[in-house]
Amino acid sequence: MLDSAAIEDFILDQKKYEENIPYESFLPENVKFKTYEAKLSEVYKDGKRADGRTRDESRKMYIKLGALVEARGSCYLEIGDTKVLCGVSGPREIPYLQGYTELGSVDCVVESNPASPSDKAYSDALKRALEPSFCRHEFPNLEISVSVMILDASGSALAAAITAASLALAHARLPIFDILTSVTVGLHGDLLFIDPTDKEEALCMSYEKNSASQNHGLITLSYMSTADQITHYYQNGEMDLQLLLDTMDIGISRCKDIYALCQQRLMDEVKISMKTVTDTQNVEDSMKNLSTS
Amino acid sequence: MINFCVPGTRLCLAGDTHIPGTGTYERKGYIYSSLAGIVKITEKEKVFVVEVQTDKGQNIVPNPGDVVTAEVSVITQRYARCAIKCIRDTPLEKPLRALINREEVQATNKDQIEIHKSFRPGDIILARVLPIKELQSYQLTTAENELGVAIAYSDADAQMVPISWTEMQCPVTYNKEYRKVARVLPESDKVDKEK
Repeated sequence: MLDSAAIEDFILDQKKYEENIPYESFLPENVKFKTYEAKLSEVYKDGKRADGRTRDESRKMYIKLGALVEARGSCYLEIGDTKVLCGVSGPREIPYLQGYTELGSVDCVVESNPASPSDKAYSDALKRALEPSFCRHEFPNLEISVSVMILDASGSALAAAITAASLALAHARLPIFDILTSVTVGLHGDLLFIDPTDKEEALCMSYEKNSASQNHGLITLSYMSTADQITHYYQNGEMDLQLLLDTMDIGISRCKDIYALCQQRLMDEVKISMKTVTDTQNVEDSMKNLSTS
Repeated sequence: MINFCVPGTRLCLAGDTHIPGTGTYERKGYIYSSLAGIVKITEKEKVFVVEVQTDKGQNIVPNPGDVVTAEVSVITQRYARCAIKCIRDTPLEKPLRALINREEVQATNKDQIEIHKSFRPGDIILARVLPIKELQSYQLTTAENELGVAIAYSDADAQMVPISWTEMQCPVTYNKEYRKVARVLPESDKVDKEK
């Protein structure tokens, strides 16, 4: 059996030992303090990003229309590791509506895993982005519901959600003025990151006192290409006016690139789904030609 | 020749000869597509109507003047509440709420109308949409000979037979019940009338 003096000695030893270890070593790996240079070099080094892209290069994109069977229209979209799934249903009646509404409403719900930011903010942003592109005047007193599930939020999740929702609307054959495309641009000091990953987003959102300039933040733009209109603009952080204009120009040009891709995918989908209609029409046309000749 | 389009595709110039139809919209003198599908151009009275045809979802909404099929759900002293199931020939995915006011049940003797002598919950009715846009639900009227109760079931679960324009009879129990009966035209008559 140990005597009390030995136990006290042991506790004192233990305390001394613990005091000598820096507090930081008890922290998990990702919360540890790092110098600014270390943080920056983790995401951007020698003109290349962590995944080998240059700063104005965006990640690879994958679009699948009609991924959900139950929904009227659906779209699964991947940008790099970011994965979102969107379903559209409706039009249906607005529950507990007071009075007559001339324009239909768009009900948006963005669900995500616990790692991504607040759902309410994303839902509102998605609603604001979609409403100008949707032909609301064709659905008085009715609403359509758009639900987005963010399966993997590794950066630019809102931009992915907006693009996916617009494609899902087009797939549901609901009238929209134009396909909406969206892009996120991250800004840190003098560095512009197009389509940032989650680590780059974290860097852009942090403000370092000793860095060269105060410019930092994230911009999410959604843009209708044929109408040449920005439907939604979402900014965090602060930046110079001139830099802001440059950033927007870059964002818009990137939106146009995505638009061409979306258009192509949608056209492929339409050609497959309308096959029965087009086949019957082809037969009718050839019959007509026969009878005239 | 088949032309496919996606939302935002510029289709043609809008003007006196070409007008936008369903699935299209006009902006800055051009007709644009708002749906993904096939472009259809039909000639109507020397004017070309540009439309976009799709494979699913007609996006149909009751417009004033449309004949709809509805099921009566609740009746009160002042109105009958019903659910629109079908607009013209197109069935709806989800029913829409609608209201028939006491004054709109029949065209004559408007002050003597009693709702419980015109409809019962569960009746299938034909009605016309009214152009009133103040209330939250659609307003319907049955004040025409062709409009009113089309299908009704008695307490014995038998489909009742109309015997006059205010009464229906059960073929099992021979009970007579009051209804605002619709003079449903047979399909062949309808076609003749249209011609």
